[in-house]
Amino acid sequence: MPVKAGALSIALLVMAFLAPLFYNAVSPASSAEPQLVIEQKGKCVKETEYMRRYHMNLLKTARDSGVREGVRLARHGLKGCISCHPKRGEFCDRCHEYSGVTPECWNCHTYPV
Amino acid sequence: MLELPHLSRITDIMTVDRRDFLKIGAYTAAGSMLATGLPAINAIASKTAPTRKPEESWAMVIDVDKCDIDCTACVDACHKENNVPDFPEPKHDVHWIRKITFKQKHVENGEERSLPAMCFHCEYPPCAHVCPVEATFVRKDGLVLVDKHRCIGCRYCMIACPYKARSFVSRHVDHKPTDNPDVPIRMHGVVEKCTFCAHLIDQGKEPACVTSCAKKGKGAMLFGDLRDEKSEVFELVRSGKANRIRSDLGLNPRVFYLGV
Repeated sequence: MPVKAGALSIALLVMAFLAPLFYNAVSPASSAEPQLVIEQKGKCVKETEYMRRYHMNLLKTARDSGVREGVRLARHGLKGCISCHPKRGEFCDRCHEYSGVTPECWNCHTYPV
Repeated sequence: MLELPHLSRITDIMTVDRRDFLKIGAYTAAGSMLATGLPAINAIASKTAPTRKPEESWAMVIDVDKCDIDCTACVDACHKENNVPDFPEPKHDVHWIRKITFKQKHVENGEERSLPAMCFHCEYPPCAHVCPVEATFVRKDGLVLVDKHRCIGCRYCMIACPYKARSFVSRHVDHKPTDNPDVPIRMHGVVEKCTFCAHLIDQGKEPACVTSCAKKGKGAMLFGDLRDEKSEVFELVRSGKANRIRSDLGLNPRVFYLGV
């Protein structure tokens, strides 16, 4: 029965490969996109799409110019974020947890949880 | 195959006839005249740019005669303003400013006196010189600062500093609800020191120690701009009464002392 055993093993292999897909189909909550509550829409320094992808670049530029040159770009820094998004847990952490990144900003900087 | 230009053609390119030579000369002359006008153009441009005033040069003058031995107003205010951690063991001690008590050797029957010492923000800082990652740097207005984002905690700067102004954060520090939110705390493994309260200076205020000394002490500390000829600091420094500690090292500290 070598043919039957081969077919069976291939079927098992395919199922093993597809298992994650089935798992995610069953538990949709785990892969749901993070939802952010943004109260003051359109008031950010850049549009939402830009901020979603490149906010870290703005923060880094503000950090370097503030620390090194003494030119404090308040609106582009962490303080600017806090002024509209007062809680880290409802803003920064949602996407960071979803995408699995752990920025080190809050080891030292104060941002209310 | 790659074709090389014939040698004579290369020399053709390189030779300049009389007419071209004169042309080049005329352009060069015109260019140099334009260049002399450039500073004026720059001056107009810099008025609109949101940069710091380049002419600031901060300095501090401390009148030791007005400094009481048992007064620690400056130290308390600094450590509160800058969230300086308080470790129990003395070997882990972190200080941004400290009080030094001393007796002058050359004065007979000299009484014990004290003065506050912090980072002197030298003009030629050995700490910045030795830093392998350029974490310690000199800002345009003369402040010597540590970029804690870059500091790797090698502690070369602590060895280089002759004034013992720097401390190493040797333990983990947690956020406290009493922390000043304007100043970040420091992570375990970086070197920190007095910043002349750069965050307050940038808002146009004076360092916390100076404010506190004027309020709770006898106003022994003065802070000001050395390039501003009307400032009290400038007057005192120019009068020659103000001394620097270990001026023989030639580092040109920005903290001056009166009466030592």
